[in-house]
Amino acid sequence: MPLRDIDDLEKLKKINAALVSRVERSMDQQGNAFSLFQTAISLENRVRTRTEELHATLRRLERSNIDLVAAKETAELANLSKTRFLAAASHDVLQPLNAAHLSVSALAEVQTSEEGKKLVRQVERSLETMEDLLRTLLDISKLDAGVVQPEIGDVSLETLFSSLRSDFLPEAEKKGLSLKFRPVNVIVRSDRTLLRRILQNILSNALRYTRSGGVLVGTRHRGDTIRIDVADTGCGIPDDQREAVFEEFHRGISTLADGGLAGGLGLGLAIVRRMAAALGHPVTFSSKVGRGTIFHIDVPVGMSAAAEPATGSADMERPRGYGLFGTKVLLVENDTDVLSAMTSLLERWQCLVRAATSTDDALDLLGDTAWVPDIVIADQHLDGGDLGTATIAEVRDYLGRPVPALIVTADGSEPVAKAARAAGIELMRKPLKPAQLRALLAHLLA
Amino acid sequence: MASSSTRYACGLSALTTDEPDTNAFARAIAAEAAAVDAGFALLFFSQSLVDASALTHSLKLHAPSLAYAGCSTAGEITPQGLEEGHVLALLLPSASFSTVSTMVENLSSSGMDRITGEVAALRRLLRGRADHKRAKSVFALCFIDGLSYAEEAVTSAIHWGLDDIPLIGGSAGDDLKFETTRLICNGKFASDSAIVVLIATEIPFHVFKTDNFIPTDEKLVVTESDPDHRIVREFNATNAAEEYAASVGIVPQTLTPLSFASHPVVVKVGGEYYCRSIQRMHADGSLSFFCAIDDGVVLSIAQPKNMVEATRAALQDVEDKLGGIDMILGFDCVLRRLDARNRQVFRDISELYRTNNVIGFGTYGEQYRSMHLNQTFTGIAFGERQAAE
Repeated sequence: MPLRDIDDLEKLKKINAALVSRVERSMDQQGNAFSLFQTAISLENRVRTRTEELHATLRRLERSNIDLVAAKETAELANLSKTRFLAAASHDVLQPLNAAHLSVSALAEVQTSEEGKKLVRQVERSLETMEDLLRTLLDISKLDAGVVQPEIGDVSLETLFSSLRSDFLPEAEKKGLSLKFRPVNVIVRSDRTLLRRILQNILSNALRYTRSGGVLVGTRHRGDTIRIDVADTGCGIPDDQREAVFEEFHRGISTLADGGLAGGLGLGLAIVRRMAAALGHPVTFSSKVGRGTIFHIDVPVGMSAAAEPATGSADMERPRGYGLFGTKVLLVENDTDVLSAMTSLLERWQCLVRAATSTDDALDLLGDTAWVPDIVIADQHLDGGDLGTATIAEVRDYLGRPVPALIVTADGSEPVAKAARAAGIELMRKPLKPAQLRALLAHLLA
Repeated sequence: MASSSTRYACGLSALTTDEPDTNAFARAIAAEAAAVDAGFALLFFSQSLVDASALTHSLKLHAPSLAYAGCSTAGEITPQGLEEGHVLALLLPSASFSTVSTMVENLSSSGMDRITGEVAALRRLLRGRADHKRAKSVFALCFIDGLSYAEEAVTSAIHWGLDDIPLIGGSAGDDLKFETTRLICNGKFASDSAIVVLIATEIPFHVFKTDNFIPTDEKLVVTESDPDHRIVREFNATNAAEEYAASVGIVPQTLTPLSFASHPVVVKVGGEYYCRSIQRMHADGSLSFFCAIDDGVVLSIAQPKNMVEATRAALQDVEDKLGGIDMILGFDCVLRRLDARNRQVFRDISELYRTNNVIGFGTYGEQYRSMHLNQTFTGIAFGERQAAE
């Protein structure tokens, strides 16, 4: 009979008791099979709710992702067309400037008054500034448009450094700053032109933001990369500017009063970043405000182990067949009499001699790349326990190349001979016979 | 008709027979397995046609290298539609399906932990076996002795070990005799057992369930029961069979599975109704169920309505989700079959299954994810193989 029609009190009590016990048992988690079934359903509902929530979230995410992608593509397209336009239009953009340059030159010809000449010079300077700015912007566009394809090859850092040195030395001297390049003898894999532009931009920044002291360029071997360091004693880069310095038109506080070209356009590092990215050379820096900044460029080491002799640089090539003509000799000798005698002997043979009396002294003579000795001649026993073999080792280390070397010593002992052999150093016993020395030098330098 | 074979686009191949010659069928299976390079088969068999020992013996003889799992049925769903007294084999080609299986015996004396542990071990085994060159999704099948009173516990335990892997399955039947069901797996056959199969595939799939009934406001409160044996002795403090019969308006002496199929009782849990099917009436007027019951459970008499439309809509939904159905492995409650026959929609259901490429068997209960259900149709549908990109 239907539940609502039951009026038997005993039956109702029994139904009530069953329901009460059921309600009480559904409160505790001691599962029998039926409560397992209930649990399964509530679990299923929970999972379904969670799944639906996840799906909804996912759909929302997909929606916003689609919107984002669309927005990004629009932006990229706009940017790309702009960049393409600039890259393609560079010639047309610069054309009127060339015309203006020509007109101004013509104008300069016909100026007779001082006032007129001055005005023309001002116009010329403004045009140059404008051209520089435009060219830089076009370079950035070309890099962004991907029309700049690096031509990776072997690049001699020595050659690169010495040409940068001759470019920047006048500017450094004008500001009373020192500019030193550590000697380097290494070939890297890079694009000669782009790597040069990177270093140019970093160097011109270094000089621009340095008031006193100077700039030092050196290298460090790190496995199969070479780290080029450009260190300055300038104003430094504050921590909160670490990212901003690479942005376009970002400028620090220049040390030059004129706001002209020397002040920079604030595009140097923006270009550096793009070029470095195109080359795959990481560019980083460490800096202390008021102390200076060191920029690091990591470049892969080239295939050839050692550099070819630098050509076309400040390095004079030794013409062949002239014996020892123009041979650069680093002479290390603590006995001043011997030193001067050796010097005059070598200079008679047309050698260029730099003389030192100790290891430290010798290293000081090798201040920069401008003077790299072709041979080192050293006395074994120097002052204060200093040894010739040690001097040679340090000099070779400093120069980064196994410069031919010769130990001249009165010490006929076996250890010295052994040490020299081990280090690939020739050995001559004192007293020296000039003819023998000359023959040996010619042999070593052949 | 002796035996017939059907190959589906997703690579699965189905063989059926209504001949009792297990050797001939095992030979046919071996030949087809070689033809489609299948290393695994699912087998569903009517014990009216063959028995488990003969079938496993023949397979050992004629298809020694084939791994398989399956169970006895209460009706089969063959490529021709709803059938009875058949054996059905579904071959899984190794190219698209990585399969591992295990049989857990002695359910009545097994702890749930053991089942969860077996599932975890199976997952490790599959990880070791599945080729990871292609991203594959995993699903699980289970077959449980439908007379074991253990499906809730087993399903929970399997689900516990599976995490998010979807589980689908059916309780083994014995053609409504309610004596013995058999589980078969790799040469073994047993009762009081459950089989878990883990399958990794790159074929897209979707698991689903569908049911159809409308609750009335006739309420039955379980006032006396034996939960361990799923027996209800009293509804509303009155003899269970009498009270049930009175509620649906039939004479208690004529209660058959057909009456139970036509007048299911449902329980409301979590805002939804779930069918709790009655298996049979005992001489003392107590009722055995196909699922867990307990004192104080409130059941409502329900009416199954529109099975064809509900099933069609469910299959349509699956098709929309998958973007086309290639074939379906389905577990269909034996009571749905009875009710369909009673309402004279048997042929419509059969035709619906045939046109949707459903194959499977008639069950004593269906497993869907973490639930053991009654009077539902659960299944896993396979989509078209995704076009090579």
